[in-house]
Amino acid sequence: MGWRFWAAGLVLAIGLVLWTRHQLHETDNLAPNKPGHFSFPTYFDEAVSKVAAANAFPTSGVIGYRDERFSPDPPDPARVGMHSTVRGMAQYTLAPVIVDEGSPHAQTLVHSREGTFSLDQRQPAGEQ
Amino acid sequence: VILLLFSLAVPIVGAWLALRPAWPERRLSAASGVFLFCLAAGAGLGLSSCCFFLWYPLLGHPGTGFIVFEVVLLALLIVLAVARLVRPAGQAPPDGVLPTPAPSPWAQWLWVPFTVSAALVVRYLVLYYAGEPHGEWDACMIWNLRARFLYRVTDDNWRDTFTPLIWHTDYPLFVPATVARCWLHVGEDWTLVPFALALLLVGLTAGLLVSGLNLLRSGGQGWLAGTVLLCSSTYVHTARMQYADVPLGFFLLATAVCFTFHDRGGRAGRFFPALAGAMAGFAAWTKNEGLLFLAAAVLARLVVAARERRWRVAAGELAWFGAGLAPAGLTLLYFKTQLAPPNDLVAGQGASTLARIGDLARHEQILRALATDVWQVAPYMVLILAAYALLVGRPPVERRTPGVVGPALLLAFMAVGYYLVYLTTPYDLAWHLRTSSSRLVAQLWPLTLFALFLATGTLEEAAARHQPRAIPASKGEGAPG
Repeated sequence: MGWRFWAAGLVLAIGLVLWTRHQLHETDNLAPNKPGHFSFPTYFDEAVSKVAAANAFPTSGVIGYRDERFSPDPPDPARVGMHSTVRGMAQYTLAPVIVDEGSPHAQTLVHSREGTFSLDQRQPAGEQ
Repeated sequence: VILLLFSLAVPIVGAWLALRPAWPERRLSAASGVFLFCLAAGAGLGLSSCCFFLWYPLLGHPGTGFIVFEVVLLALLIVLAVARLVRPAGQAPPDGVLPTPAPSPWAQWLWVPFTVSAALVVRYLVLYYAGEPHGEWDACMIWNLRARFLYRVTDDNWRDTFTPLIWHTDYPLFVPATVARCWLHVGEDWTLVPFALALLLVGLTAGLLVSGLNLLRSGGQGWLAGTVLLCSSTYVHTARMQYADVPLGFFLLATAVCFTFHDRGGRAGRFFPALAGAMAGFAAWTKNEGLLFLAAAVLARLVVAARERRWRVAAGELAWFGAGLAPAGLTLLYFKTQLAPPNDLVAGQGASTLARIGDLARHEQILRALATDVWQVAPYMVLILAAYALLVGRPPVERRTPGVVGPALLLAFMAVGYYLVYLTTPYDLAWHLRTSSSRLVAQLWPLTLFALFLATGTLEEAAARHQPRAIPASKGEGAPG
């Protein structure tokens, strides 16, 4: 077998070893006591679902949203704001109810300063 | 878990039974079996997601009736398959099978590094899922959210799934519909389902890459490409997110593989063009980028036809391509025209578009970002692949696979398309690149590896360079492992 075969094989073997080290290191960082990357907090779905069940949240249509912890996001780029983030999480949890401040709605989901959720039935329809 | 496996098995087994009679080999080798399984899985999952979605406008929210429909359909396919087995002869004419050279004994051991990398990837993805069962941000805000809507809505409010009040409800529905369909079988919206789908699609992509290249090139080339795919950090990171990029990557690869098999078979027959059409259709049913891919696929075939001046053949191919495209294409057409709000990237175009195109700083910004993403696909991956390609060179003339240019053209057209999308994006370019460019690289990565390993020589051929007569052009029919 010629030198090209051995050289190509060596290059691939080096690549595999480099990646294996990298991958093992990454996997170690995923250990339960070393949280890795942000995504959806697993407690959120449960917490909001419990409040929703206890407060007879609507099961269809639109629900308003008021955040007492985070002010509305700057318009551009809006996707980085905590207001949008928490609102998005509420949307994910409450689907198929549409969480929207701008559309007419009879009830409002309130995210309190303490981080809890409740349902405000007193808001007039079309609250902004 | 049994119900989840059942929900995935129903469309896959059904598609296998439908495709198997059209496959030219009477007895399947291991590689052919894996290859056909991967294509059948893609076709079955794609078709079942279309049926699931169409159930809403036609019959309302899918329930037990949908499950019964699927099971009855599968039973019918089984009965037809059994009837075909007991009937003598009647095998479809060969459509693209040429003898594949058997690999050297040592090349068959290349499954070992592939298995090691696969085990590491599965371990990583499972651990990641344990900590992040809902997937990453877009999974919660787009893909799994849409699946939750589809699963939780009723006959009265299913159209709320596509409300413009929520981001990106114009995105196609392969992933959400498949997840919701499996949830229907399982009976609850379990986070394991989208994760299992992501894991399955990684496996199908790797399986298709390995088996396709082993059948086309032999010499363990498929095992090498599969190992490189699983060793690509960007690709693995994208898989853990539970987004639609990995499924899209699978369908892009499947389309290219089908066309390459068609080209290798002398461009005769209709099986592979029709299957390529189906896969391209499911790509468009997976993400909006799939629509760009549809255009790229047609354009690539026209370029191939122009090079060879075989317009009549190309017309036939495109006709079968269109036939295969029909199920997903018509479903997508209904979705886009009747339910989906306008796409934000298209709606954001106007007078400022020309100014954006003429802004040289944007060109530089895009090129830098894409180059960085390609460089970071895995540690030193670009250098390693470049060195490998230089060392092994091109295959000997008698072992070159017809149709090498097809995947390269697809890749080039997609890259140009993505570049233009970034150039004209109405969003802040830095934000748009930061949040998506690495995923676009991940989408194209399986196709890139397929094109690269198809065009380059094998280790076996590199070994034979000093012994030119060591490898015959063909050792007869038989598929490598």
